[in-house]
Amino acid sequence: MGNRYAYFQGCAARQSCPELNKSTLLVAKRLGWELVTLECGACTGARDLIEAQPEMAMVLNARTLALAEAQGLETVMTVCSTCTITLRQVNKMLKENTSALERSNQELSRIGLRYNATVEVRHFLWVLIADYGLDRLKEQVKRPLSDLSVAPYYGCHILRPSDVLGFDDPDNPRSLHNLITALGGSPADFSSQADCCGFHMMTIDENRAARHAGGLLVDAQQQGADVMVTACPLCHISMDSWQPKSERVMKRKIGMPVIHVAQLVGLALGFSPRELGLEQHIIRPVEIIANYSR
Amino acid sequence: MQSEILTVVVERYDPERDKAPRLVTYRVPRQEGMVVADVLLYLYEHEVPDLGFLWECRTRRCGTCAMRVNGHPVLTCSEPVREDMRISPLEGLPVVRDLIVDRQELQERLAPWAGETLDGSGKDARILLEPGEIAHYRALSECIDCFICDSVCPALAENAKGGPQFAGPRRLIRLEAQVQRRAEPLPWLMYAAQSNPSLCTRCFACTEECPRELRPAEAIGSLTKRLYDRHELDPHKTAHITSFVRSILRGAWLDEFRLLVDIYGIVGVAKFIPQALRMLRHRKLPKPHFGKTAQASDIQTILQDLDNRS
Ligand code: SF4
Ligand code: SF4
Ligand code: SF4
Ligand code: FES
Repeated sequence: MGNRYAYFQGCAARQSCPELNKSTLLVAKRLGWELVTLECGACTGARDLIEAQPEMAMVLNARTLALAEAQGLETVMTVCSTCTITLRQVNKMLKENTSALERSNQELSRIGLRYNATVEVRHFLWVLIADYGLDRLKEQVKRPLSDLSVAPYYGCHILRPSDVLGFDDPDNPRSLHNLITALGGSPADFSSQADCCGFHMMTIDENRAARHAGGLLVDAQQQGADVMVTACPLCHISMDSWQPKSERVMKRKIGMPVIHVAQLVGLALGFSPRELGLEQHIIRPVEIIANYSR
Repeated sequence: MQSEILTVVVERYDPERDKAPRLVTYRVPRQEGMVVADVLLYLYEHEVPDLGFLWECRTRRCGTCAMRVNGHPVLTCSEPVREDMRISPLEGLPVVRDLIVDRQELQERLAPWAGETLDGSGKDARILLEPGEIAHYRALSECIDCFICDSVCPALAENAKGGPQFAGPRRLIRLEAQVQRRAEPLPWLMYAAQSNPSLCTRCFACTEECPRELRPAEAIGSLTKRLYDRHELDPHKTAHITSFVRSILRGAWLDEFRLLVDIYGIVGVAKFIPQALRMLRHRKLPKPHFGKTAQASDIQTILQDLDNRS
């Protein structure tokens, strides 16, 4: 039981961040986790559905949770912070509010499903730290990241609001710091580590969003970071895929590589940059690729 | 062991003299049940008669005493003291002197809807609320204008760089409270629409820090829904939401490609061609979804009756 997880990929890892999916599967396999991919799950609806169509968001996500429960799984493991907050918000409501659970089950009964509110939703990073343990992870490290200064970027939806997320302290988050240290790297503290990347208003005002993201990147760079690590593919999209836009808007070169948590772990476990899809990033982490390909 | 003497660093600033804030260290005798405002009061009475800070009610009601302790925004009239405190003014607002910030500029933006009879009838347009709604309304209307949410809001900070202006969480939570108790909420909703709620990044900093736990970010979500339902939400955000719903009903997962087409139109997406080519080279370009996924009909079955937008 202990190491079986329902794996909820989310849309980004299925589409514009395929390297996240790839590296998550590699790392999980190496660590002996059994992942049951929720292939027939559905998008959480992100912030859009839960705000504008809350009943739809509730029933849609109740379905995903029920699919995991029906397979006897206790944890839905996410790799996207926005999926995490959205699934957890709905799950919290279903656990606390019997009429919400009833309404959801009424709809789910039409397709022969029922949710008993027994499942927990947890991010890959939390599973790694709380279930697997950083001490055990240290023993698995084949190639310590001793030459790497890594900026731990938390962003928003893995921290706030803390009564929905609750794993780490939003004012002084430590999970990524501790992970980086366990992998032999050094965390590069930077003041905007829990600030917002602007992803969720990118289509409203691209320039504003590009400034939100660019500001964080420059901050990390000024603290001497070689690379930034993020727990969320949406943050990754705004800071890697759209970094050229931030550079244009801020009228300066940035060139800061941003990688996913699973890739960082994968590097230390001995996977090659190619296996982890590092060359797929828009800002290629060229030095890491050169140093870790040997 | 608690020490008898507290070491406190206060960020001091006199606009006539200082180019930048100065950090000054003080030592204050600790007293039983002391809060941060007591420390400032002690300093004012014994050592620093010109120390600038504000407080009024001392019961978490007036919101004037909000400052940062070790970077974290709090109401100092109820915040217990601790060892090694650094007290600074709220961030994001201009500093008048020492720990006093200028709330005027943000306050003035409230002006257009400060009156009570916005429906133009001259009559009070308040409505009676159902019991469940009363609790919700009271919660929202308990905002004490402490400005903590505004001070931590990244979208509000971006206003300084120009472009469309975001009204901030404090103003928006108040609009949501007004809308809830109005028989004819439209004029208030129009103010909400002009406040650019879609520029909120959904970062939840305001919800996390509000000392009265009023959840301004969720209030912005609620205003968004109201505007969406009445077809008054800005077109980009509306297209964004509608595209999500459509994608999920058609194929369960979001179709990132269609999302862009829905928002910018076929012609509008042309501006993304350089970006798309870059993504293609890196094997990251999202492909449009063709056909239905296996689970699409299940999803349609459970969601079909729930679309409550008129
Ligand atoms: S929340 Fe975002 S990344 Fe997660 S499934 Fe939905 S769109 Fe995809
Ligand atoms: S919403 Fe909360 S944080 Fe914002 S001004 Fe009101 S009481 Fe203060
Ligand atoms: S959630 Fe929105 S309003 Fe609240 S702090 Fe973040 S950007 Fe500002
Ligand atoms: S003095 Fe009024 S809220 Fe603190």
